[in-house]
Amino acid sequence: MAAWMHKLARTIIHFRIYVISACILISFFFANVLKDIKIETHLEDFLPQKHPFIQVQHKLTDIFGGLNQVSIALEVQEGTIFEKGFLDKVLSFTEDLYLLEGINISRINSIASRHIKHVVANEEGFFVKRLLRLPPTTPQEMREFKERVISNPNVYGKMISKDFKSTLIYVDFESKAKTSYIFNVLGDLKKQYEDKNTYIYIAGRPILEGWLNFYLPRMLKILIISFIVISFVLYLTFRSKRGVILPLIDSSMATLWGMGTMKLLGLRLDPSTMLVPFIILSLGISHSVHTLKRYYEEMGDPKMKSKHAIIITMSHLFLPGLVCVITDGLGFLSLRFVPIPTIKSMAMASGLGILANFFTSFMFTPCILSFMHRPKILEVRREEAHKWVDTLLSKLSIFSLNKKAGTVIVSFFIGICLVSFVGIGKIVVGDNTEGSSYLYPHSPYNQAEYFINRNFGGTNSYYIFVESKGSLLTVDKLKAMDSFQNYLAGEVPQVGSYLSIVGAIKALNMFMFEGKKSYFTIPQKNDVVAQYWFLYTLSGFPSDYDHLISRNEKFANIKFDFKDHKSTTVAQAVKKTREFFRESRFPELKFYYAGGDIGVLYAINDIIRKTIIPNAIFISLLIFLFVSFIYRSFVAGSILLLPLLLSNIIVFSLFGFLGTTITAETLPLVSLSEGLGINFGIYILARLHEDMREKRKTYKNILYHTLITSGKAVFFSGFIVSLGIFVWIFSSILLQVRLGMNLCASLILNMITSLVMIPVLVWWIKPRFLFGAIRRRLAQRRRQM
Amino acid sequence: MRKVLLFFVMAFLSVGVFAQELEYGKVYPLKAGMGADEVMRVMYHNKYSLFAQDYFLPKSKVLYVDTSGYTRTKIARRYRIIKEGKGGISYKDLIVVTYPTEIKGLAILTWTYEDFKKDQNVWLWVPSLKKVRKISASEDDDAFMGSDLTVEDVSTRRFEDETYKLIGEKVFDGYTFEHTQEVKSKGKPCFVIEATPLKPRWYYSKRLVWVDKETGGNIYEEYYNKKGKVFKTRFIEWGWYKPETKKYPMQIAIECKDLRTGHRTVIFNEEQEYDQGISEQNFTVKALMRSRW
Repeated sequence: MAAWMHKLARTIIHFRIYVISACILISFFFANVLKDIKIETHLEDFLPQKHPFIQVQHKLTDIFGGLNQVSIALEVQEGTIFEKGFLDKVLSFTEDLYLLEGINISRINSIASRHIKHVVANEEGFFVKRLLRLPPTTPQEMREFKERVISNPNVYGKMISKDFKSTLIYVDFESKAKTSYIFNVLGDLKKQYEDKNTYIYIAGRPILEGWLNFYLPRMLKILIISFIVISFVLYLTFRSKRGVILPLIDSSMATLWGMGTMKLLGLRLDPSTMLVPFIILSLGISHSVHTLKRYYEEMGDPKMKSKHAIIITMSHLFLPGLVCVITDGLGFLSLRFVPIPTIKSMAMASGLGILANFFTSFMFTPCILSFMHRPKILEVRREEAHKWVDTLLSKLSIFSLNKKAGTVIVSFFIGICLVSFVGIGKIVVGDNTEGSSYLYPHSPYNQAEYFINRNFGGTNSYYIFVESKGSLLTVDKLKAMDSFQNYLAGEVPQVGSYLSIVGAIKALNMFMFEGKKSYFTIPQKNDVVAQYWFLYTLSGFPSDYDHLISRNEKFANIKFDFKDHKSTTVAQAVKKTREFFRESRFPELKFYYAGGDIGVLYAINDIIRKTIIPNAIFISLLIFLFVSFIYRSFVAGSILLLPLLLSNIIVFSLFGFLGTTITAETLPLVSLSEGLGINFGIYILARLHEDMREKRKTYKNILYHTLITSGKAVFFSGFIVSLGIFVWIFSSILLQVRLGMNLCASLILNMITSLVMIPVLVWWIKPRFLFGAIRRRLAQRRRQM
Repeated sequence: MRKVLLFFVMAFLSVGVFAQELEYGKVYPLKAGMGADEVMRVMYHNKYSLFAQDYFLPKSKVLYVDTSGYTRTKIARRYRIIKEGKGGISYKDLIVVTYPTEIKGLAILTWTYEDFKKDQNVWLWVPSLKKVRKISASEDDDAFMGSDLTVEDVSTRRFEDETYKLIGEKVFDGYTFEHTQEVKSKGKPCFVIEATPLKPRWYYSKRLVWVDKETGGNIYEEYYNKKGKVFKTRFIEWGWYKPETKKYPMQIAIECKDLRTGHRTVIFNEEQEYDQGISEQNFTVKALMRSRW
């Protein structure tokens, strides 16, 4: 034991009353800070903000709005929508939408909206009427209304389903409207209008955020479950009150500190940062388990005094504890390079909490223990009585030293590794699920998305931003836009429809020429285009056309509606867009791609592809260098890192074999699993290192002793950390469930590979940093003989 | 006793006059003690300048101002001839766009009928195509020329479209004309009328109209939604045309604000003329096709 660590431990225990008081005071301070912490999901935080596609998306929302778009479908259960009662309901619903605060009144697209028109063109001229002003009252009127619907390609299949069972309403709220407000007011309208014969489905970004916010407070209940489960495992581990209470207290304190600092830094609780308390809690407990295990081990000597035992414990665990905290921190630190704000926030908050863990687990708990009376001898024995674990670990130690068995293990892992590469080759990057991957398929939100996608098709938007120096309303510029939209619609079969100012001009040209479809073209003269646009805007209110073209006529957009957002569709859309603009040049126009759902998904997939491997290499390298530095041995770094890499390879291969796609929430997986998983190896190696220096033991004894002491602590703490994370499976938010399951699987694998592979590798390699002492002793003995 | 009798006779006569349509070609002043219906009949009479033979507005400048202050300008010329019910027509209107240049010459001819249930007839002249197209009358709640005003605000709302209740006679507090930051019409004695639309599912549930006692013009209006919240305001500055001789009330400037979008429309009517002997020949489809504006 290094003298300075012993001295430090003694000093801390000397000032223990101050340490305890300081920790309690800090905890009260942060508890007070946390009083009004906000739970608020901003899906913007889940996007890689610096990606050029996200920049285009920002440009689009700044100029054309549409940040808070919501789709609402009203479905009739019996009969069709062509019934007075149902149409009355649609009218009233639409009217109530117009009355909502913060709604963009120009963007209420319902069959009953003021700007949804029916146009009839003939030789005399063209005649425009509102599609649905009042519900038809006679069968004849109803038939005529149905005919108008069927004849209007912008309504039939887009606003009224082809089976005539439902109608879709699109609305857009101003950007200053809060998600919670939108979610609540639309929820109230749903309650007001839904009945046995009318179902209402609501989807869209603010609604998704609203549902996430609705589910997030449930995580507090899951945190309580986590507390109970962990308490139970702690009891099984220590069979004593202090063994349960102390880890819970110190890790809760660390959680308070981490969360409090997070609040002070202005970070919110969202689906990612909400996981922070779980991570800090589980990690804190795992560190405390090591402290307590070591404490009980020292107290196994009946003559040992509590205060002395704790000084020994602290002096032994300071270094591995510090190394663990730093490697955990490095894991989170590396997440700062993932260009997604919520993951950065999560990294920052967790990093701070983990730092707090060092003070609470390695200083506060020992100080408290030093005040406590020595545990009864029965308690110490109870703590040690885990026969099946001891048997397992002792067999493992014998097994590790058997050369054949070791060869079998290593060959087995190499074999798995090779097979895993096949699985990794099958990995698909990108979200292929219908609806939101953040929630379960059966969630009300995803049900709404499925319904809308199935009945109205093409609800996955893909935007191209168009910029011109002068007015866009010229023949050449419109033709350029037209050529692109025709190209993409022809090349990508998933394009359901598209919308731009070009369509409006072409339609007006057709109406001017008696409604003949052959005139659905761009006119040949610029002044005709200008006059058409004037006519088009004549009966609309000033903001009615803001979603198509800016008021200075310099910016426009082309919106495509895709039938799905599978990763292949997303990639194909962008590929074809790139190809088009590589081959076609338009000197007077600039096309920026791509926004909308498809553009955003591409950006996320792109970031996953670009980040995940460099991130894995970076964190592995950091850990390798750090551990090598601590043990002054690259071999030590390799021994610790190999099991981690192996378990990560296995976990990722499962993605490929099970057909689970890699999505944004997978990004922190490598960093977290390596950062947290390295702890197991560090504790084992530290104990081996310590025991190797003891003069009386052979490697067989040393390994056995290490495994039934630190190995046992690793075994239990591994379960505790995994359990703390495993409870995420009870979350209603699928994103948390998936991250929880993956991380849990990865940590368990890390624990197993650490327990199995480290002893084998150590025995095979016999590194100098461990075996130097034995070799020196043997050489000395030989010389003496 | 004779005075009392005379008062009752006068009161009966005045009710008789206002209970029906007002006569064309006359200017009706407002008087204290008038009922809501009487006030509104005069207001509509003045709004559509039914007191004159014809009307010429050489320059109507329309400014579309958004929340950021970005302003688009359109200028139009307007002609109106009052038909006084001949052939069932109340009046004919011609609006010709003169600015911006690329849409210069685009014209809209409208015939409005006496029978308020009959739709207007509307023709459109597209100079770039050299084509006249008959188009349906804009619906009453459509925007007027892409502005914050509705079509009925400007040209189709009639006395029969609403019911009226007199809220009281008040002095107008004044309106800060946002375009110039001038406070206008302050201290004008007004009738305050609550107008409730008869049309079902209409875009406003009521409007409060301040009718200036002096000119008989609707100087200020507030539009309320079903929740009782004001969502639109309209201010009209009224003045007199040739106050020494004709004394016709006329609209000088309008500012309409949509409180939901923050957008406003400002209209300046410049150099207005009445009774200039405009020929009815100008209000035909043929004339529309021949015209060079």
